Amino acid sequence: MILAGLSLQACRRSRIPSALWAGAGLTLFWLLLAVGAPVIAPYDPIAQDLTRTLTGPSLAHPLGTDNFGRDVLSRIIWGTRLDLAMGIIGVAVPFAIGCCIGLIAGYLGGLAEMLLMRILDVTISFPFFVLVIAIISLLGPGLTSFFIAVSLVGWVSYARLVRSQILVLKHMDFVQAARALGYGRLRIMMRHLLPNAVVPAIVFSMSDIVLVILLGSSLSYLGLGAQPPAAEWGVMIAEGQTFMASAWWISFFPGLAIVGLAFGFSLLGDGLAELFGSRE
Amino acid sequence: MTTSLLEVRDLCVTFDTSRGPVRAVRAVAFSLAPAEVMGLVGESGSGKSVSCRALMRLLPPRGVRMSGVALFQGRDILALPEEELRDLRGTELAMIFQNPSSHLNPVMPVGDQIAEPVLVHEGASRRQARARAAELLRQVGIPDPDSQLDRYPHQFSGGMRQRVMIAAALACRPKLLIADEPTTALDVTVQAQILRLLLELRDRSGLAIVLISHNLGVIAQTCDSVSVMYGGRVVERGSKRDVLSRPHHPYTEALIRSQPESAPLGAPLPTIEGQPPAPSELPTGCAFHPRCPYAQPVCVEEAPPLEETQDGRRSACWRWPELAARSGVTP
Amino acid sequence: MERFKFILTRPIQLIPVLLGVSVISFIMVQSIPGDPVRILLGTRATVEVIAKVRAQYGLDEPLWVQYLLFLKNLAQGEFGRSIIFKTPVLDLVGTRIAPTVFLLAYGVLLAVLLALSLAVLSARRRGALPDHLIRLYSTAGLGLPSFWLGIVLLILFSVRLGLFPVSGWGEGFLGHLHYLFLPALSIALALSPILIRNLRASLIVEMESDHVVAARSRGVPEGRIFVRHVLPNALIPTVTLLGVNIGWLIGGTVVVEQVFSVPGLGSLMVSSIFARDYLVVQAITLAFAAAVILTNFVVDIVIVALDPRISL
Repeated sequence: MILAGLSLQACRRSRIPSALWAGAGLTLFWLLLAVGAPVIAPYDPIAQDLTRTLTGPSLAHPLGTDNFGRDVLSRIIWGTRLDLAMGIIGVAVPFAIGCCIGLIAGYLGGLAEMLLMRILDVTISFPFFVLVIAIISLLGPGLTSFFIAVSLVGWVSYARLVRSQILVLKHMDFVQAARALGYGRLRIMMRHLLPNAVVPAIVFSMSDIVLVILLGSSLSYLGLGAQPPAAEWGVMIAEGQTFMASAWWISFFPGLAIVGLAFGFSLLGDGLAELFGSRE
Repeated sequence: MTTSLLEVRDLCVTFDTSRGPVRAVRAVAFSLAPAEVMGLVGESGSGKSVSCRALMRLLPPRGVRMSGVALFQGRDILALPEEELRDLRGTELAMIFQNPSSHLNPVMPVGDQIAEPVLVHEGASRRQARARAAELLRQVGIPDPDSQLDRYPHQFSGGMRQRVMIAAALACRPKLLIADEPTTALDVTVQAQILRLLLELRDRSGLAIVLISHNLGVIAQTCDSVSVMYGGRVVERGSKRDVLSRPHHPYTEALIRSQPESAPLGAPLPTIEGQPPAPSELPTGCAFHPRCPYAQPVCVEEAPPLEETQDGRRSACWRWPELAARSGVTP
Repeated sequence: MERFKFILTRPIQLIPVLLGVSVISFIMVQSIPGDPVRILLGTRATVEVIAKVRAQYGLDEPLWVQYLLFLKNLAQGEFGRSIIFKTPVLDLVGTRIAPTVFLLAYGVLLAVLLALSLAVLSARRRGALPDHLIRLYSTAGLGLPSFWLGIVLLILFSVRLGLFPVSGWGEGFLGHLHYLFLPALSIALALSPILIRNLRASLIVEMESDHVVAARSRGVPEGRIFVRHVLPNALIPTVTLLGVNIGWLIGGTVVVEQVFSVPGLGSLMVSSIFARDYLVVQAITLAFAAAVILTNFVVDIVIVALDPRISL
């Protein structure tokens, strides 16, 4: 006990976890890249230059050019916009829907909750990835279908997280006190329950962004997400595969970009988890 | 005590923390004869648990500095190489812990946990070890031992789990058992059973026991001698009868007074004023002086040594003669 | 054995889930764009034939009757015909199951071996250089796309070194092992970071646990403590995590099959999507759902076997 206390003291010294700083820094870097793409990117991401196809990394083209002579670096920089948007929108919408449903089901209980739990059981039985692919197959390939599919499936995890939190919070003193003061249901839910219940969902959303970015780029690789000639990393990797024997750089660098973008959010998630004292 | 089994001298344990070194145990000394039961008393944070873990060399290797001598049958435990230490643990030295629930492996049948030291130390066959485990369970008073071997810790009650832990500790017939608050987590009736069991084992096999407790009642029931710890030091030691009836240290005196049993019925329970000091914030001089009714300027300046007082007893107090002059504790 | 009784009762508890799964499948079939009969018969069918098939499949009936018919067809293994391959969907899917199952099992096996060795190395040498590198991999690696890993491995080991074939799944067991090594490794490299993180954390918790200190106090050697006391406890949460991730893993297999042209369910699914062969897509979705349900059942059995405290 004493030992644990002593080593805990050491950890508590620094208030903000270093993972949070690193993650915030890395994510900010990608955000700036996405916003400043027109200024930062040295070339037009779509303009073809058939005189300079498949050239390796050089001073003029640090990451080489692809089979249409497009600059790989510029395409990666522009691609940040698409991949970042896929991650953020693909999580924000399910997050909002899931929190609302979880809140209502957890607080009201009864039929609403039972219905939700059955839907949860069934949705969890489907592989997330496969269900999204199946929905996209019905809607037709493209980013819009991707966002619809992710929203239809992704809210489930958030609803489950928020509901389980609400079930605990509902019986806590401060909620009972709010009820005794005669506050309305809506006020108790929005002002007292939601802010407390949402923390685990926020922590989870960071690792969820990583998964959604991976999902989006995978689908684009398969030809079901962003469509060529869009500068999207998964699309670039797919286009490069044909030329992998002679021009490895076309597929290689976009993959690194995915890893780097995901790394930022993973670190953010670790930092937030540490900050809020919850463990995986 | 010429034939001491364990002789501890000048044991110091220092934790390196981010706020600098913290001296949890400062120059602890005591000795123990074969088949002796010694009580180690003190409030939480007094360093009694840390001293005993240091004796078993169970403190984590990083961030902990130890010094001093702990002679066990002539060999210094603190200086033993890792290999020899491992041979000593379980066969000569053993330990049981406060919380039997967390100190037993939850996914291993209790029979395997008890048999493990036999397998490891004596190279016994699985069958022999299993037979020994059943015998040990019988010795610690668990009925129908053969059918209990394959059960898991969570299927036992707290008292039974402590019996299982005792069986595992004693599997290779050690000579010294360190019992770290073995009954604190148990019901009062179960407490008495476990203490009786420990004494039985002592009588049967000549086991020496260091019994750590913050409960003077437990010490009074069980021990031959007592060492009282405060602020990482032993402040008084001697035979149980002497120490508990005629304390030579104000802390011991205060401890005895604050026992619920010693207060007259209906009178408010006397308590020791103030809080025990954290090891990181020890007062200067005698660590007890801020709470001591006898404190003098010298107590703030300088820590008293643990000196011999009378009849082989020792006390670390500048004013012990005045305490000794009065006979018994006046409530 | 009392604790394993759920093996008998679980299938009954799964009935609502299976019904829900069938409802989702039904909704999917219902939302197939265009006239299902046209899809089934092709564009050259006559009006009379179309009317006959409509009646046969009950397409003129109310929705709930259609659902019951759909259930009946499912129960009889009647999934319709593939418009591309002109064969019953069930037969088509049946021929493609083996490569996918092989690849999944191979990938999980490699991932577990990788996670076990790296997490153990990391936890036992905490704070040392290997630990830092492994922690970096297990955090940065969370975002490793398996299809990209596949291409990088192809470039390195197939194109440059010529060690492994570029596509297909080979002949015989050893052939499968050889052909599917890179695909399985891509899956394993993408899956192992999350396993390593989890296993490393629980190993560290267990290494510092009270019962390990107690075993040490009895003179049990460190190696034995690790194998008998630390590992069995630390594996329990990791096995649970592996079960949770099985769905994601199946998704990864779909993409990796595409990278390496493995003739499995995943590549069939993708090609069927582009060919608008909806009944095949629907059947594969159902097959994967069944696989997830089955795997979770198996994981539950393993967990109960590993942890005597749990009874389901």
